[in-house]
Amino acid sequence: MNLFETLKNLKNIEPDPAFKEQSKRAVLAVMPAAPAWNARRVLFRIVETGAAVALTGFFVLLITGSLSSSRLAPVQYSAIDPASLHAEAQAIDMQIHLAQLDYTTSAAESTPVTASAVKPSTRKPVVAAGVAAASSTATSTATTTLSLDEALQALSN
Amino acid sequence: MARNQTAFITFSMVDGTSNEKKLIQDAVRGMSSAFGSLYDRYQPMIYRFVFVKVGRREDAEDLTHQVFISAWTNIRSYKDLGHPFSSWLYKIARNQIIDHYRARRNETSLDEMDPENFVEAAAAEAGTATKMEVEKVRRAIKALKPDYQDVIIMRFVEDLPLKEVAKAMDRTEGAIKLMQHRAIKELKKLL
Repeated sequence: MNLFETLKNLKNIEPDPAFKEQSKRAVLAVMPAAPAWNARRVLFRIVETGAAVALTGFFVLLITGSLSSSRLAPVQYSAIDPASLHAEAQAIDMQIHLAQLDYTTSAAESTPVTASAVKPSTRKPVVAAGVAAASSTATSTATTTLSLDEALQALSN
Repeated sequence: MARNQTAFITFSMVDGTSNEKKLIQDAVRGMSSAFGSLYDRYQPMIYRFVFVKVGRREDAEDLTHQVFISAWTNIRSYKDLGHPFSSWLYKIARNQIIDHYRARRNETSLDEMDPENFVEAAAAEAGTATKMEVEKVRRAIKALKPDYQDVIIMRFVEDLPLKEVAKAMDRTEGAIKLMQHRAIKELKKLL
């Protein structure tokens, strides 16, 4: 008897076809179980989703940001456009300047110069008071009381 | 001509492997038709494995059914680590058989002593002499240690490669080689 040949003959064993069909139907009628959830898996899912969202956001910003300088940009971001930023800055500066001017004028009108101690000859108009005036008053005995705004205005002229 | 034939065989094998991978992926997603195809492919093999080990047709059918029920209900936890799907099924089958023997440890089976218990289909196409030989070998295999039985069936009945047997039995290929050598030696002694 050839042992290996005989062992090969065992391959002729086949299940009963009726059993095979019946068993197959019964097996497939069962629903596969959902995979078990555990803390590690949940944590992994959260990290995975968070990383995906963060990466997507980063790439969206990167792409739209790099395109914003070109004319092909689908969306124009004024916040990252140097020209518009500069214009905006200029406008803000102008507004402050005008507001300051207005305040200076009103301050000049409302704040009288205390001229009691000032000699008439040394009195000068408020508008003329400047660096030169300041230096001249430093040598003279006359003192002129100016508001801070007036002084700054005079210095800037 | 021969080259063309070889190329065709190689292509068929690659195609078959990728097709099986697709079936497994679909089955893992819960597609019953995909698992049905896998069932058709592997059920006879698992049935033979179980039958040679337990020796009774009814038990073999019950256990084979349980193996596939277990495989289908746990299919979503199946991870494709590059091992053949059959290795996973063999592992389930081995565990089912261990449980089966554990449950029946104290039972005395008269069926197992009945020489007519062998399924007729085993040697349906063979003569009576061959049938007797096959039955004798089957009984000798059954008398071996469970691990030796597994190696003999997988290696010499199913012709599985060493690697696949090693995966199914959680052993190294070297260990399987050694085991198969000892199993054959033992089997020859029993015959």
